[in-house]
Amino acid sequence: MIQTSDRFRANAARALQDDNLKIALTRTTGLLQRRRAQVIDDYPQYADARARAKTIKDHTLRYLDHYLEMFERNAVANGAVVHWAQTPQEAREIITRLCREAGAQSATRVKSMLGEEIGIAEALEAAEVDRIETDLAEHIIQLATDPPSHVVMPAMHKTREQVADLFDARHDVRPASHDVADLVGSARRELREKFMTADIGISGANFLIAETGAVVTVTNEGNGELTTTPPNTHIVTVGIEKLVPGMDHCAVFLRLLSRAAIGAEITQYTSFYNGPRRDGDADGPETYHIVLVDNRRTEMLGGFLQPMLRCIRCGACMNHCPVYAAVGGHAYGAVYPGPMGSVLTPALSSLKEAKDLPHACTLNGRCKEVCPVDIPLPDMLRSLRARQYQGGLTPPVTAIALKGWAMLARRPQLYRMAAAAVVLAMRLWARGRGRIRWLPGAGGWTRHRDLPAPERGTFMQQYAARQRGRK
Amino acid sequence: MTARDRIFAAIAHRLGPRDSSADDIAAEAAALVADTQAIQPAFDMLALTERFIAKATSDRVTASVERLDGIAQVPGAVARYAEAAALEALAAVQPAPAFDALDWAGLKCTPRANPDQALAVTLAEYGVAETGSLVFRSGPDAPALLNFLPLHHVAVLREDDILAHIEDVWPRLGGPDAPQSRLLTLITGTSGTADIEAQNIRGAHGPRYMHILLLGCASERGPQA
Repeated sequence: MIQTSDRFRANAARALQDDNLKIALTRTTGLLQRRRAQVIDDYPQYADARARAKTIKDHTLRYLDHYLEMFERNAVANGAVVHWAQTPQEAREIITRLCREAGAQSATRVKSMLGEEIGIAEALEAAEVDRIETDLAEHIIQLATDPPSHVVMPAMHKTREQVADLFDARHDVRPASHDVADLVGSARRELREKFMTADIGISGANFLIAETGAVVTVTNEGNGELTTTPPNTHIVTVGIEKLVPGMDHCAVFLRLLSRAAIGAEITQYTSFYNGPRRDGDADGPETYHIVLVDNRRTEMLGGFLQPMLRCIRCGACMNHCPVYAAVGGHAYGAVYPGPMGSVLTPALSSLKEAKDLPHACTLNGRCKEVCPVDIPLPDMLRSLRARQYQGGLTPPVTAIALKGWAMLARRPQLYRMAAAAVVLAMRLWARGRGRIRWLPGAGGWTRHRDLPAPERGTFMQQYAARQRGRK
Repeated sequence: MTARDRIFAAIAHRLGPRDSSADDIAAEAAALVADTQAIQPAFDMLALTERFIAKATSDRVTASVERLDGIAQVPGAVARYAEAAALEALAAVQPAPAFDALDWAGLKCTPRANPDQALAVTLAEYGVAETGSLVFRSGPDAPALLNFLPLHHVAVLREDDILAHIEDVWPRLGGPDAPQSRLLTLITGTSGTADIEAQNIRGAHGPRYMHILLLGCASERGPQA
């Protein structure tokens, strides 16, 4: 997709005018929050599991090369062909080549964010392969030619009414009704034969198990196994940070991922792919490829962004973000939206191209609180802001204002005098009404609400008065 | 330099020298999961069957469970299920030795499922009481698609094969050095989606209904809902 993160302000302003988006987000985020809270209440070991998950990921990242070699060795022993790509372009070239070698006409695909990141759609287009998205949400956005707006529910921005219109217009057989159940049934019918006739199945991975070479996917719809089993070729594309040492380590994450993402104890289908079809097997692909993708993950190792490599793409941070809930995923203008996207997008592109994203945050801290691997997202966003300032990427007016504030903040006497003057001015401006309807320089705030007039005097003035009263 | 070389060079550069041996790393990794109990949901370990049934039939998992005395009763139970669901007496039945020996008279059986298969019967290797999940491995007598194509999935599970937690499954698969089946799947109830307005809908691409036939000593314990 074309990244438009440098236009977050304009994107967000447009999103706020979109009534359908408002309905779609209201109908979903609250529900997801309640489901998650319930299932975590029912898991008293959650805090310990979360701490353990963090430690396991940190351990794996510290020995990433060791575990990548171990994974490769075991996957090859299982019959996989392992490919390496440092850049999205290298990954696309590998996929295009594999499609051509297989003489493929069509490919079914299970949603994976890494696939979006490297641009699988382009790779298939280059190989002249018909791409069939099988995840319901991906099917919806393929028909609508929209980019994904959420890491778990890419069609979160669509209302059921919009989906109904889309299916009416595009499905071979129109949905029986516009009930959500009938819409789902319509997609099932539309994709049924396509699963069985595809030449290639493409999936992602939630985890890679170094000790066994297994590729793990967690899904709910059942499209994963229907995508990866009938075709002759199965291709997995996966980021190198998805590694865990062994099966028991994986179990820790299975419990956390489904709880954080959808409020369930486990997803319907937890699959471990170990290779191609075995001798005598009744079904399964003849060839099985794993494409391991870096795409700047190695650059995040050993630096302040390393905790981001713990991310398991559950989407809880966006489900609980007040900014995401107001503007939706598209405003972020990148593959990964919400708080995790605001940290990851600058790392995957540049701080300049993603300049507004570190500011798409109120620093309320909910994202860190609900993160199942305890990624300090607000701290990282603050660090990114600091780096923007140091790198001269802060807009001139903001930079001057910050310089002025810094000058005051380092001189307590001057700061107190300035604060007292501002308080006095605001009280005069309010003319005893207790609130301010319009304030010069703060029109963006006062256009939608009143600003309370300050109490009598600054905090320091009141404190000093009280201290005097005690004596 | 290949992409692989460049990735490993970048990792070595960013992480610097680390003098841990492979054994040290393995010991550290093992220590991280030495105490699995601390993070496992706790429940009565003497009532695994009850826990399994409660989870499998919960609103979230939406399976139904029927207890049978033994495997010989499976064909009759499948026929009754088909009739109750108003399905044809036609089922894709997993070509497993345990099923081959049964008398399937009254049901027309096929070893493969077609894309619009109404009913399939498969044999689960294990159940997981923690979550109400079933464990399946693909193989010559276990086509993976039988678990995913039908609208109605009847799964047979022996009560003795119910394990407590997810971690209890792995040791029974022969360890990391054993040959691995192509696909190992933990199936927990029916296919579902929440992709339209986060509403939970069943039967997205996989089965819409799951009926578990639990083989045990039902007669000793009395009827079970």
